[in-house]
Amino acid sequence: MLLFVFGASLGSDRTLLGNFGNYGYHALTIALLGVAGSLIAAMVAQRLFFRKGGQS
Amino acid sequence: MKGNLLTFGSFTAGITCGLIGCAPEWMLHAALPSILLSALILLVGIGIGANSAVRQQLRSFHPRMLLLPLFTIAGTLLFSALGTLLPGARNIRECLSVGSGFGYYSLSSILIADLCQATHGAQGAAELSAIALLANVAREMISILCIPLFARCCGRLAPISAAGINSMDVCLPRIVNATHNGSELIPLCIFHGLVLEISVPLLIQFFC
Repeated sequence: MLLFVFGASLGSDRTLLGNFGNYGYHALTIALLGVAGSLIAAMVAQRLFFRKGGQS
Repeated sequence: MKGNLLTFGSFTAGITCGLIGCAPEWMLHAALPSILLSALILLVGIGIGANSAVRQQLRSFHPRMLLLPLFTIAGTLLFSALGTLLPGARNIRECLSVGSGFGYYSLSSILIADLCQATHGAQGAAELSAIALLANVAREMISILCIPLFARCCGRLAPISAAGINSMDVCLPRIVNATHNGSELIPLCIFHGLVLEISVPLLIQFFC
């Protein structure tokens, strides 16, 4: 319901819709960077604090 | 996957409805997203409180488990900030607020649409929330598809961290299957997801 309402407000704005490809580029880069950052952070955490086993 | 399709279906149906102009006036009212958002946050709280499986798993809490979500938050935000260096990029606060979704696309996009209105204006907030929706859907998709790869190349905690919020729901079965002694990781996955879920509204409010 919430996303439907959100989609309706986006759809009613033509300028916003015209730039959707541009938003896709920004979104994908931030998603890839976020995943890369969390992978590196997990490797550091594992090395420093979770060496034996993984959980504790 | 079915849930994702349903989410995308309702989002696409909403865009189509707005595009062809058949959305009723009350649906485009500025206060409606805030009301629905409050209801969503209430449901998130009820869901956490009422989930007996979550309560049971949290009994095996160890203080060290808090470190992984903190590392996930730090790594994600640090690398999201690097997004400002890319050509045609958005400013650092925008990159950080989009990155603060941790894969929780529904809540993060609606929160950004609501909370960033004061600083970005209605148009700017709508743009940023569209980016947040797409970025967090992309994060969930990348995580789901690459869990075995992440576990093999980066260690058993990597798929939990990459999944973000989704480590406690959609990605949990795949993480358990893809990692060595995966069932041992279930409390950590759930705790990781819960801490990130609580941090999403706080971080977005801070960066907007």
